[in-house]
Amino acid sequence: MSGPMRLADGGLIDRARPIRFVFDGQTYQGYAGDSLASALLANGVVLFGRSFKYHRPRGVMAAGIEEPSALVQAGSGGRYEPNSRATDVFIYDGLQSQSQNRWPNLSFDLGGLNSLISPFIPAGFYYKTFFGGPKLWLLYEHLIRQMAGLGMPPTKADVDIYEHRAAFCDVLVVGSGPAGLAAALSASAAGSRVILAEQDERIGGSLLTDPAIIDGLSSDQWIAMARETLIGAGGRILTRTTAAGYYDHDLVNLVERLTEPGQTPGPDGLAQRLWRVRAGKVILATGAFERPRLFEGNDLPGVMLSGAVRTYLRRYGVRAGSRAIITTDNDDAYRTALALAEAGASIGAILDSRPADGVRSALVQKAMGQLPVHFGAKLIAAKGSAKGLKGASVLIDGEVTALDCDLIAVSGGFSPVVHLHMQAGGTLAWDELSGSFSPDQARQNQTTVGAAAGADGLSATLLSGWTKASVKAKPKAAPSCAAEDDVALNIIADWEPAPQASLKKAFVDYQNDVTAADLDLAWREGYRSVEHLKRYTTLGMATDQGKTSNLVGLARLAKSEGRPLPSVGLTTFRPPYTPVTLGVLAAEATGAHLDPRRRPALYKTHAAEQPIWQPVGYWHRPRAYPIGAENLHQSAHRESLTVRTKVGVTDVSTLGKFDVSGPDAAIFLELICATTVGKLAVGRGRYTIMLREDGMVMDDGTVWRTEENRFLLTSSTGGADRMAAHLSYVRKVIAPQLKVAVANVQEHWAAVAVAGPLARQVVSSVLPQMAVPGHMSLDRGELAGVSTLTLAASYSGERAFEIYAPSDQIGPVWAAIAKAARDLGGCLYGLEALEILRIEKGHIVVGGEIDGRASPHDLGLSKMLRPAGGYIGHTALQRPAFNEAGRLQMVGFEAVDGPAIPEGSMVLTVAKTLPVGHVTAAGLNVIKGGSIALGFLRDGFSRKGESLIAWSATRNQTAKVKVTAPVFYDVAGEQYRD
Amino acid sequence: MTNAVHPGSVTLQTPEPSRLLRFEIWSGHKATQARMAKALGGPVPGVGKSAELGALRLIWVEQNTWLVRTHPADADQTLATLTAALGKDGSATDMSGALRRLRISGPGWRTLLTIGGVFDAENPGFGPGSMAGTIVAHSPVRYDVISEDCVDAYTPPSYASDLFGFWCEAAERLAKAQ
Repeated sequence: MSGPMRLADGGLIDRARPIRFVFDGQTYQGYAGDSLASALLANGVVLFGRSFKYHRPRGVMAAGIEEPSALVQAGSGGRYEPNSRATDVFIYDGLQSQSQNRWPNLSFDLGGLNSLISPFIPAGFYYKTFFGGPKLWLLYEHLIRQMAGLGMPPTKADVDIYEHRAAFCDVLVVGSGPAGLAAALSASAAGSRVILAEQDERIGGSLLTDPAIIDGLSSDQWIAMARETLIGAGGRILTRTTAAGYYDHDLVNLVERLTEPGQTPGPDGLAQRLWRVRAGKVILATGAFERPRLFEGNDLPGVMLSGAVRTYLRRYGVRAGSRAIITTDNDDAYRTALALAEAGASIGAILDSRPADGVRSALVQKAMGQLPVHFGAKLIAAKGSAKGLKGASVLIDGEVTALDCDLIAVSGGFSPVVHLHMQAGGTLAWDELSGSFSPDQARQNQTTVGAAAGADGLSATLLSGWTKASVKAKPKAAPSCAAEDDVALNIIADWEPAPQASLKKAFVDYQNDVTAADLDLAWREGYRSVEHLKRYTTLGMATDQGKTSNLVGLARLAKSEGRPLPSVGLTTFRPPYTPVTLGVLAAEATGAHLDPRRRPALYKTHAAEQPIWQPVGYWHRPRAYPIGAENLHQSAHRESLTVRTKVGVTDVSTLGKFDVSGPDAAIFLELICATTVGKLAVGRGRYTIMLREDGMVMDDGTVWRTEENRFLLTSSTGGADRMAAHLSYVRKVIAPQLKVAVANVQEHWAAVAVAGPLARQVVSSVLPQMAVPGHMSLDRGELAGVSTLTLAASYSGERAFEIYAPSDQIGPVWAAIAKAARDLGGCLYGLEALEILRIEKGHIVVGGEIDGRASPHDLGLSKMLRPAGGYIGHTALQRPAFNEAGRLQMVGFEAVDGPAIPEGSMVLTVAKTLPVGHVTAAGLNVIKGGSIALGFLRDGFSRKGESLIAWSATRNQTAKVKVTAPVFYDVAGEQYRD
Repeated sequence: MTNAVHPGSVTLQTPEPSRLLRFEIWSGHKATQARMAKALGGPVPGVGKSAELGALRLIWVEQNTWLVRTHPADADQTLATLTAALGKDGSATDMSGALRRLRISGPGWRTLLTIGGVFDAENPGFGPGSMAGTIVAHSPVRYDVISEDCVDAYTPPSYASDLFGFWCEAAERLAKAQ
């Protein structure tokens, strides 16, 4: 035996495999198949933890994931998990576990003083107590957090690996109790692809506690048959797997635990896996949670849910007490009483709150023949301490009586587990007699079966699973059980505590220390909405999410309100209902895989130059190429000055590029572009802008006619994916009749830009056989054995060229151009210099001036628009609002005698007034010096010369500025041309 | 990118470079497809399908659009053949640099594709001659199932290095879990 409470035989544990583990520094022994809770109970441990607020001693109440109190932290260092339910941790050799929220130790916890002052710290006391300024609250918060709480967060980075997997099936069954197994078998027999998810480490659900004969097989045999059948048919059975959330279109997230908390993973290093399952149909067989009852001291160690007592007895071979009292409002607790008696425990009383004149089931009659059964009886108070129960005060036949006991098994009825049904958008129906909500209408392709659907008895449970699961033809008859195993619950919900019970220690929410008195107080203070009540009292919050407390709390609110329970409403079932680790949500998306790093074709070439990198979306591009000890600013200034005075080379491969071909290519492009492009001669190009259907500018770029029926359209790097989607939409939806093909060649072509007064010299030296094209013209050539396309276009404001080559051949092209430029005193330049140069020239950029709110008029581009219209956005542009006064219009700003213009600053007329504009990009005047910026100003076109203030609240910087035209360099455009 | 070989599980390779041509048909679909079939030696694959036509691999990519994978030495000739067969009813474009091909083989390839993905790679209907476009770890990718034991994945070259690394790590885990 592994402890004093372990029975000599029985249970589903493997007694041939003893396991040693540690709890609060003491080593214990359990068996394979034990939960931490069962193993500790077997060893006679009754004190598992301290409560959240009052530090009251708490034992274990449940046997599954609904356990609110027995929370532990498991593992250490980078393999550590707090707030694990002892009932949901299966022991393994080397398990290190600790109790939580106590100091200096569990049995002697100074925080327990809170319990003595509990009358002064009821629900919401901190709202009424801790007044003062925000700084004072920091002190209060520190103290409160020291005194109350759950486990300690990890301090080391997680060392384990987590993984996301996609899975698809015809039928997903959540829960493998009798209903879930019947449903999975039914779906499988009908030829469906089935996934069965089970939270426990073994399938079977309630059959593991209450064995039965099904189709002539013992439940063990029937479960084994089901497993073999499902796997044989290609189904997937996932144990230790929780359905964490149900989302639109029948997407269910399953979290599979491959290791227990704190356990070292197998060779693959995987600790947990998140399955994103798209199911044709979802069967929810999530069972029901047993409810506690209201009496004084109902949270003491030794007070347990009746079903849990039976589970420890039958599944784990642990008898949780030897002198038991049962309090119930249904028949199920009689099974516990009989099982305890059979295991040698004495039953002090079965306190059945149902009336004495009710109908007696065979089970009740059997118990009445053996045990002291009292109808219309209630439990008033449990007596005990951290060491366990000493007795109870009970109400029998109107008389208060004291009874001896070391175990109280409680059954306040059962609440179907409906959170997934609700997350899927379903509705609930109320049953007054059993006091439970069960699924009513489903909004997605899901159905709920078994106890979760309110089925009563094993026969009804099996039938419900079998008949509702099949998506195709119904196979043979449903499984059936022996008559003696078909026990109905016969619940008559009773929410009322005994009148003699003090409600100040009658707990509703055990995890958050919310008592019935707290709920009554909150109601008296005006918290009538269930949502307000929840937040004021913390009922149903934290990791527990009200699994056992919500309905008891609602009943208390309904009583105060004097209304039927369903009318007071329900709180929202947000995922996850059962806690999941942050690690499994992030999975691979950490470190290098946080997001993909898009590498331009010349990535390694740039890397050899040791640039300062800049993420641009997923792209990583050189921001500057510092020399020696240069910082970013110094490097960018040198690079931009070199471009203005000599020549610079930069990588523009990431630009959006689209090959548009066909006899209707020009017509298509005139839909896309708001400028005239259809009349371009072959070999010529033009700057263009593209509008959204609402008339706002979505991107800019260039259009080049490479052949009579073929164009190259370029767009910004940041807008490339959006432009690809836009072109596809226009091609397929707006203009499917056009004879045109649109190919995204963004990464087919790489490109090198050469800019500066010596750019022409560089191009003619590397492409000597080609006539250097004039501005906005193109030509083809061969460079380093590679066919190239040279476009004469400028973003910097200098004479400039973009030399295109297939991306897998761009290396030698770049090398030749870079060498030629350096030979002439030029340099490489990165995005920072590019930004400085384009600001100086007044060129707009997506994300800066093209911010989704600017029309072509606002950007000063009205003259570019095609007068005949016909382009996307033209109709919307006719709205009068686009020409009304007060619009933000693009202007330039120059700093006046003082500090530089802060990036992203607001523009004010007078300090501390409302902003009249904002700065979109700030830089420097490369040749003349001084700070310049682009931005928007209300009615800006007519305000040139005005003096304003640029103020950055976040940087606490201010600069005096003068409004200018948004061009600071070569206004006449002479530099473009030779 | 270094090949990752896990015998009995998954092997990842970066095959020898090939050329990719894209063609799109905008009119006369039936007649044009018949001309294409004659020129290429077999019918172009239907929606969601791919096919081997001699030395060419044809992959449907979207409505009225296909990719043709060909040996670099034959690319110019193939492009000319496509252009001639399309006539006035379509257009062909060299896309060789736009996509990088990765080859995944071994019995575990379907499992590998479910890791970090959102696609039903385990569907028995997704067999040889099937193609699909999806996202894996934020990276756009197209699959072309070559055989029961092998699939080609096409992704823009800028994503290829990270995606290959992602798959290599996952493949190693799969191999260790065996």
